[in-house]
Amino acid sequence: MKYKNNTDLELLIRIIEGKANPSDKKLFDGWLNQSEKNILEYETLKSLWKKTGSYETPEPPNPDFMWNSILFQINRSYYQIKNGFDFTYVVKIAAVILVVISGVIFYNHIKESSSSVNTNKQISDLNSEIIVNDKLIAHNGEKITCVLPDSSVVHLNSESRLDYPEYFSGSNRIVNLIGEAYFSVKHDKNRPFIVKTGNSQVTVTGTEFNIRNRNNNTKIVVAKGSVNVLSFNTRKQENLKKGDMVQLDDSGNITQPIQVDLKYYLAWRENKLAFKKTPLKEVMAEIERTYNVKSEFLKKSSENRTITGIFETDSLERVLSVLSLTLDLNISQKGTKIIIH
Amino acid sequence: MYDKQHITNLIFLIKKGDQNAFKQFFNLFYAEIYRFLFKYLSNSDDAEDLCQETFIKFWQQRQNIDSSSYPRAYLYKIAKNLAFNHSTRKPASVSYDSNVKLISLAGKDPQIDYDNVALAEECRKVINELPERCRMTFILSRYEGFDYSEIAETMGVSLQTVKNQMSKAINYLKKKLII
Repeated sequence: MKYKNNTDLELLIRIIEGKANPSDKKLFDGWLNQSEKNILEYETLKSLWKKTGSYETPEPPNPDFMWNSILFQINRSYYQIKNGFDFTYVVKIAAVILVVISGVIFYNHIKESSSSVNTNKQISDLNSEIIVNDKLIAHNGEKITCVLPDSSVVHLNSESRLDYPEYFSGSNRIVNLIGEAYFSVKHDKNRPFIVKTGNSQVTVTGTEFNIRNRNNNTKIVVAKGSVNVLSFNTRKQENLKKGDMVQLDDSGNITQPIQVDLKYYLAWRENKLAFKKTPLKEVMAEIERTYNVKSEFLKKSSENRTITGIFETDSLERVLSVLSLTLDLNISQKGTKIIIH
Repeated sequence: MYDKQHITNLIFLIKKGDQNAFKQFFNLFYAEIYRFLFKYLSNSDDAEDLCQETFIKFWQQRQNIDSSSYPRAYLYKIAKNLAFNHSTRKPASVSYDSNVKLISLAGKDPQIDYDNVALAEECRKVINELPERCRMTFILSRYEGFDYSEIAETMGVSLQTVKNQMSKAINYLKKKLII
């Protein structure tokens, strides 16, 4: 038996799947009452639908693994996407980038060797060693996303640096952070993930959190799961759950966890600047990092005026004009230099 | 089925290069794209590879997505092209996947499970015998809930072609599965 051209197969499918509207139903009833053959045809299709419904698929694989490899691929192939466009142009840019990167690595190498003694002391203090053979540096005006060897994902904010090993061997996964980063840690309860920064050590088995270490002050907020924070100096520990924040000062004193509004702490990841009663001096420091500019206060008293609010970062001009309006200050910009009158 | 406004917002952010928005988009659709590819390829490793590839391509081509049209169709278009290219490189139905048999082995009644598995395996075999385009058309209709115009759009063919392919598929499957 073949479907004749006048049989509307799509209509029958809509009826069987319960997607038919009233006018479909009217058409269908008319067709069905025409002949026994039509009833048989409808019943056959219905049982075919039922039978093919038993064809199930296995459970999809773990989305986190797949996501991490996607993330890795899309960030790696970033400069290759437009290769049909003008290949020589891409090669030229790549060459320039390469030269700049090697310059930066060389410069950092020199810079690091002077301070390495101090770092080593801190690490041996905790009897666990990190073998660093990879580092990630985000300069002013830059943000970087990176997948670590255990497929944990790190988003590095401007003027920040992360040191991590090529492989995580042993019973821990240890990294060093300077600056600010958001961690999305791959769950592994047998191998804790440890971030060392400033005076503190953050230990987790799989969770998401933000660490901000600027001017000898470290703030840790938890976006998902739970986190253990240990102070090197005082040996005090705090357990944080979602939405909790603790601070550590330069002598390692750790505050009690308090619940905070996460959007202020995670805004940088969405290319926003968020401030809550933040002194203008700190606001300008953050602007310097984000836009790779320099700022200068002509009057000391302006430095401590405070700002609250969330700014989109796509236009520096707009951010500055909002600041000057809210504070009633004259702010001018000349190239990469900002002057607060 | 999905919150359209939410997806439009995600696409807006994805076009601006927001990888967090892309992650949300991935979480919404990865399972159905995987299932769709599995049905066509009947091999879980290949389905996994192509599913991943689909999202990478989607990200790379994100500037071409028309925010006014439904991004889900765009995703399927990419997956379909990858599946077609894949099967020209490697003929389908040669690969046998033991996963199909394991689907419901964790159930309680072994007899029912056995029957279900046998039925599923029979469907898999017969659907795999359909010619490429015919098979793709049937899968989009039967399992992805696409109507004919959506299938025509995804496959890049006329409505009449969809009609022809569908009756060809149904006639074959009836002969093999219902008698």
